[in-house]
Amino acid sequence: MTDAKDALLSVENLRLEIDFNGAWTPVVDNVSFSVRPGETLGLVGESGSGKSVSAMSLMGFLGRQRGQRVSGTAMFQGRDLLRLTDRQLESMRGNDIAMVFQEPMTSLDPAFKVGHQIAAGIRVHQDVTAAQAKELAIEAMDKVRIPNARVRAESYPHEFSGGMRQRVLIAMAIANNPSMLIADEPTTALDVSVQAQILALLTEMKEDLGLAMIFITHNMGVVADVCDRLAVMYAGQIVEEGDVFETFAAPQHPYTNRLLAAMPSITSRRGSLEWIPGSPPRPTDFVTGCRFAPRCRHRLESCELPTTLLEISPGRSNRCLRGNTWMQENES
Amino acid sequence: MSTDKIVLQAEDLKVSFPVRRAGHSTTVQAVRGVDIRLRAGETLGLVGESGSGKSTLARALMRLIPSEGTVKFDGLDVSHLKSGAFRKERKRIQMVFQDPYSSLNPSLTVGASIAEPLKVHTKLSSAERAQRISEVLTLVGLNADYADRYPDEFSGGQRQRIAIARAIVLNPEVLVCDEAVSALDVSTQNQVINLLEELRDKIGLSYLFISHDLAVVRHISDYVAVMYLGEIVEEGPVDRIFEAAAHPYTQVLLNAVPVPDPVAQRATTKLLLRGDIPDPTNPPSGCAFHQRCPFAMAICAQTAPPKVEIPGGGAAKCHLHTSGPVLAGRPINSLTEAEITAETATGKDGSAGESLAAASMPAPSRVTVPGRPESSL
Repeated sequence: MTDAKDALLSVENLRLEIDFNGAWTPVVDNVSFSVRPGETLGLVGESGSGKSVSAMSLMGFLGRQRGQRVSGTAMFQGRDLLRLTDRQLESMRGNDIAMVFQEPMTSLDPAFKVGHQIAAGIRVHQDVTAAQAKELAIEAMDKVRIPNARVRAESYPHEFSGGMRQRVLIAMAIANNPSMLIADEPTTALDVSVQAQILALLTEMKEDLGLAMIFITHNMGVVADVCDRLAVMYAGQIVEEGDVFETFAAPQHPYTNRLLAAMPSITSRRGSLEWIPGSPPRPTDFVTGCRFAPRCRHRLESCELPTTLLEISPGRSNRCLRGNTWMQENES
Repeated sequence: MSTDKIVLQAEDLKVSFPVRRAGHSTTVQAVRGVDIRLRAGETLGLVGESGSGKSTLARALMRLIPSEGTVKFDGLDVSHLKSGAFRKERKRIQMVFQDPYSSLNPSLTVGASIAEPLKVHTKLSSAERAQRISEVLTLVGLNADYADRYPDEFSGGQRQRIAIARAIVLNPEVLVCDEAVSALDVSTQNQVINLLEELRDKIGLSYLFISHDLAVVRHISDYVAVMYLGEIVEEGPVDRIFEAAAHPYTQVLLNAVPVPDPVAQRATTKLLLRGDIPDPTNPPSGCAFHQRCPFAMAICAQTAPPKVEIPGGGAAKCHLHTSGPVLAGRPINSLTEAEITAETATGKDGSAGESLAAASMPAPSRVTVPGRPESSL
């Protein structure tokens, strides 16, 4: 929870509840974070931790249907995203805030040329002729380094490789000059060498266009590469938030600590790999106390008390009830 | 642990598929003359990007698809066995796939799934089968009672354990793991890897471990083979590959893996590959990697590089080791930038300046951070 005043997006107490057989169950619970212009926030966690769901609720893809409800505030350029009408939200999505998803295969329509698809997105938001939109589309393809953009604009999605398709999606995302980009596992389906190209491109876009980015990923290596700050999610809550360098150097929450310790290393070989006993709880099994406690080796009886994300130093927060006292305990 | 017995071997293995491109049929050579040897008790890591032919190679080894060349199980040439005779041998090698959600039949109990291979390959009575099923479930760290439950009651990690239990129920010598941990979260992934290592020690399994995750491969493998466009371009003992890769493709792959340490990750000089993996129906002349290689020389476009032995073990197919410029007695791609600077500055090696100038490769191809590397397209 950093200073909200210079933030481009400031989310407070975001809560998404889903009706599971008549019981309202919080899937995302009191999530607060902010993103400044030009900053990349990594939203990290295992599958089911609530990272994508949080982003989907901000964008209005979740929480607006029957059986779902969303609360909290998400101030973006002076407006609360959660209180916009569907129509207002539509004019904002793809314009001020753009999204890039994991699957470059399914995010494009196979029946239309890519230049046409990018241009269509431009014409929704900008008052331009079809010919001007086409030129803007080619310009955007150029920006994401698609070679021969003018020619490639006439190709169909299946004529592109996975990495090139992801470039097309990034071109589509930046074509309307958004101020924020939400990237949901944009490199997870790609090979490492292509991932390296796309990460370099996204960092460059961020720097050249001053984009703020929310980068959703489960890969700590990717976080270390592209993010300025990170928020670690577990069971629908943020358990720790802070600067990337500080957090990797000294994680404050036992979950972050275990997650980092579990990453197999490419530079050295250890005995056996670390793992966390048990598995993350389902939303219907969330407990009132610390949700990680059942799997935590530093658990005390007091961990059954309700938790809050506390600011421990400027820009760093921790949800562990034990603060950092658990660090003195023997790691065994 | 490992002995000299070779449990799985392929010689000059080739797989081609007919494909239709722009209306006419042609063939794609998915595996182009691969040799591998897996020793008893050893783990052979097979890495490479999508489209490199790793999975096709595994399928060909198990004779799930037709191939040319020789495949030997435990010294026995099985490539020409009739299907009846081969069925007896097939149980020596079993496979675990990536997706534990689709590899188990949802309408069969866990016990019934594990019983299937026993029904096909053995004459055990149903009581003996039940006994064996509870043995393997225990062996993979699951409760023996789980035999009566259905797959949908289990998490991804547990399902993968069930898939492993089914794969080892016939006491195979080799387990082929095709991206077997790729769909799992890191903690679950690690538990499955620890289980595989435990089984290796307990029942003497050998693994052909196919993965695109290089950190996992480093952890589990004894020996590593790197595939590119249907060929093994480099192979060697795991530490030699990860600490002194000899093929530029291996070097780029290793460099591309982001390290979970922001200080180290951002200090790394990034080597970005140009373009995409080439069209396999029309592979490039000479070395298949030459169009994307930061060190490519004239010869690379003309002649396919021979397999050369690399100090420290294994081999690589790269002209740099035979026809390339050398500095301080080593091929230029084996040197770090610091070493190049030191060598050229002090002029220790009389030929250094000259041969480096002749190569003039590493400097422009290695882009320096801060800022960002040029996206090389």
